[in-house]
Amino acid sequence: MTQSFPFDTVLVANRGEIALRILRTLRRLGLKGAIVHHAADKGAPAIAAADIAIEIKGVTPVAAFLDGAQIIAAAKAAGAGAIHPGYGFLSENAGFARAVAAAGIAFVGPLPEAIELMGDKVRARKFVADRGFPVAPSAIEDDDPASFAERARAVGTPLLIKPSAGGGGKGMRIVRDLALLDEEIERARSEGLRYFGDGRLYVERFVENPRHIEVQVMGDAHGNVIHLWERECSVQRRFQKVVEETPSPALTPAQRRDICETAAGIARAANYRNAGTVEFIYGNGEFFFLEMNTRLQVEHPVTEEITGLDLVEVQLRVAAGEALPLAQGAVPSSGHAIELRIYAESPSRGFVPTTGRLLALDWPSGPGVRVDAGIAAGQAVTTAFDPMLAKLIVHGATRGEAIARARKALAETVVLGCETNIAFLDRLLADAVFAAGEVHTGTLDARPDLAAEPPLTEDLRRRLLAAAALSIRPVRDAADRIPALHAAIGGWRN
Amino acid sequence: MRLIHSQIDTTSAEFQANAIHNRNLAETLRERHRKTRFERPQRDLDRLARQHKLSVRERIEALLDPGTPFFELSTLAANQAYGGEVPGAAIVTGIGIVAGQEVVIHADDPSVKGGSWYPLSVKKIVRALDIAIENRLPVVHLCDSAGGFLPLQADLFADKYLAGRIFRNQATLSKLGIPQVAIVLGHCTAGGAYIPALSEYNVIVRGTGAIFLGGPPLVKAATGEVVTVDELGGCDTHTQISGTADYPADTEMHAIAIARDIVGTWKRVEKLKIERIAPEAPLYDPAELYGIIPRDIKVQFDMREVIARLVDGSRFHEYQPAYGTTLVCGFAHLWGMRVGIIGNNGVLFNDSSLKGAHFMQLCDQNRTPILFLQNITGYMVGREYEHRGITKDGAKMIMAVSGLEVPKITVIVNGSFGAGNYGMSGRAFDPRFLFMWPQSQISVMGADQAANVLTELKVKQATRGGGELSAEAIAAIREPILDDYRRQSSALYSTSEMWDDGILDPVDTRNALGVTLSATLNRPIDRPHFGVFRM
Amino acid sequence: MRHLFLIDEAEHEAGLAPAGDGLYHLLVGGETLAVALDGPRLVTGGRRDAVHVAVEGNVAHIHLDGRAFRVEFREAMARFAKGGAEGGADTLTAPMPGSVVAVNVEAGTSVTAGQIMMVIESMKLETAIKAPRDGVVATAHVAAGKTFNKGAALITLAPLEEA
Repeated sequence: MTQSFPFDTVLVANRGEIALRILRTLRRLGLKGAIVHHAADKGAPAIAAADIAIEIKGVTPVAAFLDGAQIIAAAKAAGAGAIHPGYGFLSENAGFARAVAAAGIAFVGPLPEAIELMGDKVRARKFVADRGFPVAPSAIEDDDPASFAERARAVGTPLLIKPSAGGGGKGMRIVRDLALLDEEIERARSEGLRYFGDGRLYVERFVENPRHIEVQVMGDAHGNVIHLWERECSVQRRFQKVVEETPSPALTPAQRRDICETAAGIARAANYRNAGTVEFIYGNGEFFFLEMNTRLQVEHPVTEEITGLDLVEVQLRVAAGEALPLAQGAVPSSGHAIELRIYAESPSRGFVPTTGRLLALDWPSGPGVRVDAGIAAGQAVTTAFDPMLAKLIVHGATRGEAIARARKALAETVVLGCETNIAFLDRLLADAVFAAGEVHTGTLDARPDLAAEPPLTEDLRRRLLAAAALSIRPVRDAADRIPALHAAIGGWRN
Repeated sequence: MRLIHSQIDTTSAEFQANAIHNRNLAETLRERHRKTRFERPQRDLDRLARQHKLSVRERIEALLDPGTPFFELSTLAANQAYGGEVPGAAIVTGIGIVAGQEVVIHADDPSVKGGSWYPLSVKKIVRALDIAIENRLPVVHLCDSAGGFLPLQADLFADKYLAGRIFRNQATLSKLGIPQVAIVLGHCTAGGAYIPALSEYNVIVRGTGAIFLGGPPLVKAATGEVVTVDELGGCDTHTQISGTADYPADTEMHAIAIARDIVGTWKRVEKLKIERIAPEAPLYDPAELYGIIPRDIKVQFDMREVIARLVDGSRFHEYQPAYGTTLVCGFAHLWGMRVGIIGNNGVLFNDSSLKGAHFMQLCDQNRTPILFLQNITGYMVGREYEHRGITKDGAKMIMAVSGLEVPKITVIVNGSFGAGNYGMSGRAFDPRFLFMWPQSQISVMGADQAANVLTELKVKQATRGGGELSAEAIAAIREPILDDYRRQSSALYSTSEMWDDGILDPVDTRNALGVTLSATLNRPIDRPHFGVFRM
Repeated sequence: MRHLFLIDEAEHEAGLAPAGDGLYHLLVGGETLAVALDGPRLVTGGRRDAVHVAVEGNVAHIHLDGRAFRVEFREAMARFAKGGAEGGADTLTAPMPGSVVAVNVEAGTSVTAGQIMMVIESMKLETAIKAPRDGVVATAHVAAGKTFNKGAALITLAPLEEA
């Protein structure tokens, strides 16, 4: 049985779609939602949707959201009994989680110890390996820096060099020829120093054509841990996810159970509380532990679609000390869900972020279609934040139905004022490789044609010119100035 | 209004023979137009290409709004003069739409004798500016002229309607509040310099445009000063130092774009309010005009058949259908604009003259512009008609046509002879526009008739000492007279001398009338008032 | 003249003229197409499409056939000028006598249209000398603190390549 919450106000320490999405659940649960916001997000719907909005400042907009003291002060000012960090920013900052707890506020997330353990990729990996869970052959520099190069060689090619403190693909290097190993290690080290201020490295076996499969887990303060099935996130560009789906088309039912139970086992071993995601690399029928993300993921809605759970609600209840609302055996997996991330970016120009002012937005709707967006028309898209504008989530009885719904929804999605990847997403969904469920994390690099804009047909060119000519004032005004008689005579010459 | 029921049998041999004849004439006209517009000596084309200049035709096309007409006037001016070496009199004029505004365009053609002004060039510019004044149309000048053609200076400089009249007309336009923009695309020397100077707005192209009273050679000869074209009168000199020019431009297209923007800022005048309805195409195919116009000018045809192929829906309200039947009068719509039409269906008798004068007064009273369709051999002669007062009835028509306040447009569709030309709004009676069809003729009397009179005089001189001339000898006298007379009464000669505003292919007439009738409505008109009619 | 539009950097010319009853004629190449835009409905010839258009200045953002496009109208005066929209020469000259307060560029500096290259003072009034177009500075003729006469060359931009 659910009980009332020990807090009546929750501060959302985030922005954009996730802030709005969390506020939506708060409202449904009868909780007050407070939000911190930066001036760069002027006009954002999340600000208007919150019961309390407190402005925060920083040298940069991102810096404001990374300023824990300011956010805790805002939470106190708002009378918030809990802080939901969303994803990114301070969501995986153990120091912040501690400071929140020290301030007598509930942190909607795991305990600081779990964040610390999983935040250090090297420790996390050792922790997992030591408990008998599968990890890829690897070598950790810290174990014995002197023998690092030699141990790295022993991992065998292809191998991947990663900064110990890294994430998000930064500083990663693939080595196929051991002759280049030393050179690449130095390069990875300097990138690690540059990005994370930490030059320590580790190498692991690189799985060719790997697929990214992750498992949603949830734990409570009473020692219960369950998994909420897996998500496949193999569609990536620049090591960032673009499309996520569940169930993974790569797995047999047996493999599915295997990978999900492994994830739950890891979380259980870590005494994990609240929402987390265990990420695996999958290839040739094998999977290896990659890392664990100790927060709510961007792609959590696909899990919600097939399980019927509101993950933010479960997070809040667990944070309030409640037990998990259901046992593992009761977790449903119904149909197929796909999430498409809509980015302000230019696929044809190497997916570089784009900027502009959002002039018109029109989201699709209908059965099985969900849009998590946190932007409104009139808002500026800048490079201050992540370029993700919205997420389009579809649910269907089968994968085929979900794809068809996704394509129809994409066609109805209107984002004007800033170039986006919407057309690219449609090309991807229409592609045979995606239909066959054979996308791996290197597919987009191998298929530049998917990113290229198809040439304009003559027919489309004319219709575009018509729409532009009829809309742009000086052009239409010039036409309207032409006397009707002369227009009727047309381009006659005697 | 009633639908005109055409009596023409388009399958008849007569119709077919006429059609072939007139189509050939139209084809010849088009070929002449093409040659006049585009055939130039290669060295002239090369010179312009070296100077990065657009052709005058390209300039005009760039100036105009897309999807709108350009009605060129007097395309074949000077075709019978200067050995045929000055096509179009080195000037292009016409009416077009620039930035939504009806304008008169005057463009020098630098591919003809460097754009030199011949006497007929001056006449053509003056006429274009007269049109601008009479119809209150703004003007765009595309200036690129080497100046007056010195060997013929006596014929272009001093008289009332010669070169000075260009500038007088520009000043008159300005006084009337009708704006002008000049685009200086080449040299504007001597008198030509005043065209941009007298325009309220002007744009000059850096590098190729220049304005000065005397070019560098003349300056050196006069004062010994050595100066470059640019220093003397180039773009930066005039836009930054002298203030003679207003807008600097980098290229010809840039200059044209600036000029278009300037025209776009002009206020449009409110047009004369006449009845207007939605335009309707004629029911009968205008191409049938080719089969209606007889091959022989002496063969009569029904002007209603012409009207049926010009006016909206071929609908016509005929006025006094039973009276004075050699003159067809009535109302119709042209491109939705209500017009009165007066067309000849034979010799003008007393009754038809009275009917014409009466109908003109009626149109003036109800503010209806009048279209004159001329096919007239003259007023009836003879004792009976003089006794009935044919001269004073003709005078009534002339008094009426002269006193009209409503706009008049005249098309000479076939013959225009004698005083009929006057009563039917000939050139001297200030129709706002006057056009001819290719086969039409214009003279004091018909060619045969005139040749007979002239031959008789010569024969009398030759036989003063007595004796008789053989038929061959008489023919030898008559033929050259007839040829000369025919040439001078041809449409080509008329248009060469600019007695008209151009020869129209009959099928183009409806469009030409639409453009010109619309232009005439820019000018407000006075209340009806006439001189004294001899009753 | 026809209008110039840029679709993804590529140039396209088209003309527009009214055709009555809310219809227009689009002139593309040698063809004339009857077109109309009635709210979210684009009519082209006999065809009707759902369309979203958002206009920002001279740019139309168009959602058509499930794709978003950016179509930019280039004003003719800017299009045909060798320099900026003002049709200015490559050399910027002093509008009045004065002295130089600051010089922000030197030979070789890339500038964008509107960028302040120099600040001058005349009659106790500071004036910014802005780049009339995108380009590269060829010469900065006067240094900070120096005085100049009216018409003096201040900055010369490297000429653009002839197209």
